[in-house]
Amino acid sequence: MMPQILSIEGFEMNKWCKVLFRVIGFGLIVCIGLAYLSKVFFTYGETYTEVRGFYAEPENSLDVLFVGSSSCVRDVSPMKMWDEYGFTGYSRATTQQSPVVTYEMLKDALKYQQPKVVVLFCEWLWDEYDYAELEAYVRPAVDGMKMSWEKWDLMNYVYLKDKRQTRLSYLFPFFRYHDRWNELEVDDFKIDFKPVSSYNKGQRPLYTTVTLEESSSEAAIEDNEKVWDFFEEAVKYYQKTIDLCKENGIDVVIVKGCKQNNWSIAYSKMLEKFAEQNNCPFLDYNYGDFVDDLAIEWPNDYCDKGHLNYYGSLKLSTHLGGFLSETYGLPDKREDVDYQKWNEDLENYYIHNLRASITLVDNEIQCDVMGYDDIDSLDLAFRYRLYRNGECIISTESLFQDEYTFEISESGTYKVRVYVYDYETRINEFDALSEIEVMLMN
Amino acid sequence: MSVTSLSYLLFLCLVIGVYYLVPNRYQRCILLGANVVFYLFAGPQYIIYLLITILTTWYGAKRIDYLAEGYADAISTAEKGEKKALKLKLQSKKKRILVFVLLVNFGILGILKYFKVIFIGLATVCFPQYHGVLIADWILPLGISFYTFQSMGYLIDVFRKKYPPEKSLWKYALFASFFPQMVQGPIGRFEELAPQLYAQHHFDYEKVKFGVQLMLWGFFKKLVIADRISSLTDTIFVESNLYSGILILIGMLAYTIQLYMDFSGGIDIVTGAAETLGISLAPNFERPYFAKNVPEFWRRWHMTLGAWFRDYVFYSLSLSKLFSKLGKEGRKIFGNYIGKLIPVIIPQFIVFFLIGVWHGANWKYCVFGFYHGMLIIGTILLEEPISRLWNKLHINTDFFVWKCLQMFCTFILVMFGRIITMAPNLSYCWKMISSIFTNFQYNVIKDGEIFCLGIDRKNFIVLGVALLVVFSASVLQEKGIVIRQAVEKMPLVIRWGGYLLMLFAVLIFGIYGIGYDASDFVYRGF
Repeated sequence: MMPQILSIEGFEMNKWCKVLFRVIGFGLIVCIGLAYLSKVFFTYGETYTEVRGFYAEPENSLDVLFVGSSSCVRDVSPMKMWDEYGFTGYSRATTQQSPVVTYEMLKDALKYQQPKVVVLFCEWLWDEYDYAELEAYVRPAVDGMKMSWEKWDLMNYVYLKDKRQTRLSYLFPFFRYHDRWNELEVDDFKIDFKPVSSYNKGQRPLYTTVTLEESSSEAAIEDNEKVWDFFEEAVKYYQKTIDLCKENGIDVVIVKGCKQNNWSIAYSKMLEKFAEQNNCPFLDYNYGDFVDDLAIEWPNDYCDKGHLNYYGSLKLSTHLGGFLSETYGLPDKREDVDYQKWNEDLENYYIHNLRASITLVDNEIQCDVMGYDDIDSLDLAFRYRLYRNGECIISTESLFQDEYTFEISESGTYKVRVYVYDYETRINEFDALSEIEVMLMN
Repeated sequence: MSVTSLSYLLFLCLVIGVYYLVPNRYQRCILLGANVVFYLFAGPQYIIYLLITILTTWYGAKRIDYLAEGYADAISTAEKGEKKALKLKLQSKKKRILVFVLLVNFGILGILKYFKVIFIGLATVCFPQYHGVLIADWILPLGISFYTFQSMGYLIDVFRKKYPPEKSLWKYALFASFFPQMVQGPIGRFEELAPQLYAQHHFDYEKVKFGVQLMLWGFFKKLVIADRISSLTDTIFVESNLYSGILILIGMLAYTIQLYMDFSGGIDIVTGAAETLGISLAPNFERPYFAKNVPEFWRRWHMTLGAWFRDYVFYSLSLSKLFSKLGKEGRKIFGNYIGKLIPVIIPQFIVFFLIGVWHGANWKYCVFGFYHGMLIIGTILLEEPISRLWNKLHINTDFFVWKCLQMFCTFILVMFGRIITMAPNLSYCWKMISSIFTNFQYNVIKDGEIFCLGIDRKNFIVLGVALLVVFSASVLQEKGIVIRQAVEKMPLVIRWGGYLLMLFAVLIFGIYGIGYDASDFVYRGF
């Protein structure tokens, strides 16, 4: 018999059941609709793809996890480390990742993986994180996580810091993205509910190079000794991150990525001291003893003053991977049959990170495919298309060469599109990194 | 909290849950508690004004009744001459209490609402060198206009001996502060609302369902239509000097639609919320743009406000001895026809002037009231002569096309009235109206400029479809079809399909979330 307080006076039991059934049924339909629409309306950027792709990795298969902000996202290539040393790694870093997100994402990751080492980039030690201003960076990271208590904690934290947000919009991202209805296309309605594996393993490389104008303004690393203090909240959560690793028997390495602005020796020393206090090795890719040996060049290996491009990241990762492999005895799994997918992913990684640069030499446009040297296991064919003012004027046949020269005879804006073939199958296509304005004197 | 906010919906769900789960005898307490919590959310410091209104009105009504009871025996036993004197004395004392309470409450409302205008006006008169130094606007307590009018209506009804006063302060407080009405009305009447509030309500699934449906309909009108149109009207009216006459005209049309959708949408939401608690609020709109003349428009628009002014201002003036005398004098001067209308015309004019003033502390609202007052008076004066003219011309005024023409003309007149309130000031208003006739430039429609004013092509399509839905529903209602009952007769799959379609239309196309200025209800500021 229902207690007085819980019964509804004057309402029969079977009618009550009918009402409950209808309400629950309708509610379920609405929730399912919202869940589907959340997938349809969501903007699947690269950050989301990489964060989500983590869950497609087999459990307890990763040796190293990389966490932190944009330096980690750009500068670290787990696939290069696999290629050179055979250990598995995944970057859980995202652009402008706040210390709280770093901590919660790692905590969530440790439910699926038991790495030997965590590499930590502490970019936000000095700054107060503005969650409202940086929503565009917080959302893809949090939205990419599977529903969990860590995600719930993050949702609550973000809600406290940014009152415009609602927990409902994190439970059902549809409420945040519903105004995208006029951007939807047919493909948006086809969705994959299962996480899709990423061959970038969390890295989001950029391919551009710092321009001459930017580089000529001097890579201004500040020399002055005036520094800001650590921000308390940031220290708290980076400390929690380190403590979490130690509780789980995981070694932590603190890294400072390559940077050409807003940095100084004083800041490096602060970070070094922070690492010492936590008994963590510290690798400084700005002022470390080993930096000169890396041959990381300014400006060619940088996409901007604060981050390496894809080519620079391969150099840094070669060194970092070597340090991790030697120091922690990470196993070489390249011949391990259980990890053959990593070799396939490696091929995809290099193929999909091929890019081309074009230069104008006399009346010729020379196109060079970059990164082909790293792919030695496949014979790839390339087709090159030259566009002038948006119209295709030359299209080559398939060629087994990673460069091509077009002769031009008219002024205009030229761009080159490169198609990559593995046998008969087109496996990649991309535009050269820049366009060229040509003014020919007739 | 805004009635379109998530927190309001969660709050309402919590109230409904507790309301029906507790034993019925505690439901009044739950509602009163909900009223207090809701009001505190709006700003705890403003609850003092609500308390003043509740206490003064409750005590004033009790005092009036106490006096009447006290004099009752004396009057019944007195001699004829003495009886009249006693009655006059009683009436005088009652009036003093009534006037005092009215002055206190309308005084608070007046000061809070019109302080800035009065201050600047007086300062300009007394100190000619004063150039209108900016002073801050006071934030109006939530719903002050609505609960003040509702409470004063109760007091006047008690004064008129329509019903005895409510003896319990807590029950009266429940009536005066019922939370769904707080944001923008409707203005309730004690004899209709109080019995429902004080009664015990069993959970009625049909009522709760209808309430939720009505709320959904309100959300559709507010979020999909009104807030979408506001992008267009804000763009045009902020810099109206940049736009041609046709765009101003389109802006006027858009604003006319926006205001109705915003206000009636909000009313639907609060009415639906009350219905989930088993309480029926008075209707506030009856498809006003189907009106065939301006008086009929005002009988269909903001009905509870119109009824309040009719019962407590218009009849008080029109049936008073003063206007009775004026009517007699008017017959002598202007003839029978106009003379007999004087006790109607002048109070009407005063009522609409007050309605204009009620809308805001700006001269443009006075002009708005004057404009509609003149239209009403014109209709009253010309009704008979025009009717005779149509008869002479053998025009069938029951003809469908004729009715449509009447609706169209009424709509145009109302639309031009809206520009008075929409423009920042009267001079701007005049420029905008002139622009319609002097700078029409219809080619801006062809070249697509209309799609660059806050609503793109796709949003216009959504707007068009949504307006069609509302229009179709209104036509059915105008024909006397009760849509919710008609829907109830349909099979479950079709019903649920319709509900889901409407719900997801609101969720997908609604203007809400980060990036949209939460387009607050236009009438919330009252």
